[in-house]
Amino acid sequence: MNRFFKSKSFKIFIVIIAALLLGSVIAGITHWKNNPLSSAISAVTYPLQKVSASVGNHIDSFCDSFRSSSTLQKENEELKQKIADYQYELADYENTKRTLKIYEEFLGVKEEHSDYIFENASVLSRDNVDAFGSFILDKGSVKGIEVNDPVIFGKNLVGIVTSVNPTNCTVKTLANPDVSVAVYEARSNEFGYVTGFEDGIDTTIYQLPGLSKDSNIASGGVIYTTGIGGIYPKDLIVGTVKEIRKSKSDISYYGIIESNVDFSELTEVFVITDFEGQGISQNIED
Amino acid sequence: MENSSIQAEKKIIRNRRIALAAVVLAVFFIWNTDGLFPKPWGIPAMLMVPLVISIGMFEREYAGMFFGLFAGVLMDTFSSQTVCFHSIMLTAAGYISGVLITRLMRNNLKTCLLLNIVFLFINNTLFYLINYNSSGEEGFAYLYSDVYVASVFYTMLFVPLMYWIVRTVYKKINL
Repeated sequence: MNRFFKSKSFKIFIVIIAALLLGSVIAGITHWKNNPLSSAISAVTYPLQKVSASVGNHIDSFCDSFRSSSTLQKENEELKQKIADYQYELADYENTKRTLKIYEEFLGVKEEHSDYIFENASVLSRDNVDAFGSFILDKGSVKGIEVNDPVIFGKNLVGIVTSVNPTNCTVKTLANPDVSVAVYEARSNEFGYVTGFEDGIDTTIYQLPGLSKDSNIASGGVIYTTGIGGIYPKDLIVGTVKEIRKSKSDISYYGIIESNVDFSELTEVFVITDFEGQGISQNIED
Repeated sequence: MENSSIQAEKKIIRNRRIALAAVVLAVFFIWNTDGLFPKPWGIPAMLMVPLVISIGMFEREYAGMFFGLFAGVLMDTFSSQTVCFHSIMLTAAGYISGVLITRLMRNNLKTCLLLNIVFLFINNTLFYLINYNSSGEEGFAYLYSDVYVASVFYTMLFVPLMYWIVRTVYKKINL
């Protein structure tokens, strides 16, 4: 046993583990979310990531086409081929229409808020180990993206950048309980904050906790960001109030907020890299 | 004469390790490509764990350790949670499985299944404790049973496949 602990391989193992632990501790202290090795690997694997994302994007349309064709197998081959062709064309049209809608909404946001600086990004992959739908974007610090930059889809807030490499960045969605957003409800003008459910598998549902019995927030109300805190700009849509429930732990109530966007379907988003008032409260704290 | 046989042996080992690195990359990208690898009810398979343990079992502790580090860094690069968690755990998995096969256990599928179930439980429990339970919120308890324990059993389905892939590479590119 003693010989094992003195072996060269054990010493190398201990050195590697110690270096990794040290890296974790430094990252934890400095709030720097990446180690240099990960950054280097992400740069090297960037082309493979792009291929991987491209394959992922094509799988859906391929499966749709296959499924539709299978229902028509009893029909003659020529008709089946024609339908498959039409489906590809339709899928292409739908994709184009969806992209156009994204850009139209983006243009609307851009016109309303000339102070926003955007970076368009595609979803490279999703974090398979995370239960709250975090995903990786194909743009990073090279394009000016920083930690805490908000991520939007149209006028809807999707999440926040939590770590950045030179060529990619990680986004935690609003469904993650680590993320919370100061919000107001448009009709009642009541303020609060929205965060994810710890026990909610559905990544498009969040909660608006701490409502009093006399709250005027009701089903159908639209929730917007307040801009307080300097992380999220004002008036981005967070979601719609689905229902109000009584809290099990105290006498307060909480709202069930449903996002207008299905995060699992996202392929393109915009990162707001700069806006008027960004980081103001952080600067005051500093 | 002896020198040339040593050279040939080194070349074979190098080729085998390049092939295994390609397998690690291929499995990682299949696992990580959105929609390519099934996630029933949102349960992920931790494919890199059985792969690294199998490599450690065949290539022993040195190579197991570095393949574990490589696979772990790949996973950390795409992770939103922790900085070095997967690197540390997979390096340990590769090293420990190599050491156990060298000193204590036999290299067969039963051993591989045993090592995997133990290590997957430790890995997933630590991941849950560090990322979710440390926040002190009670609501996260469902995640452990419904996602991370379920993930152990789901991953176990792929252990024979990973073991077979590594064994095939080892047998095809050997002395």
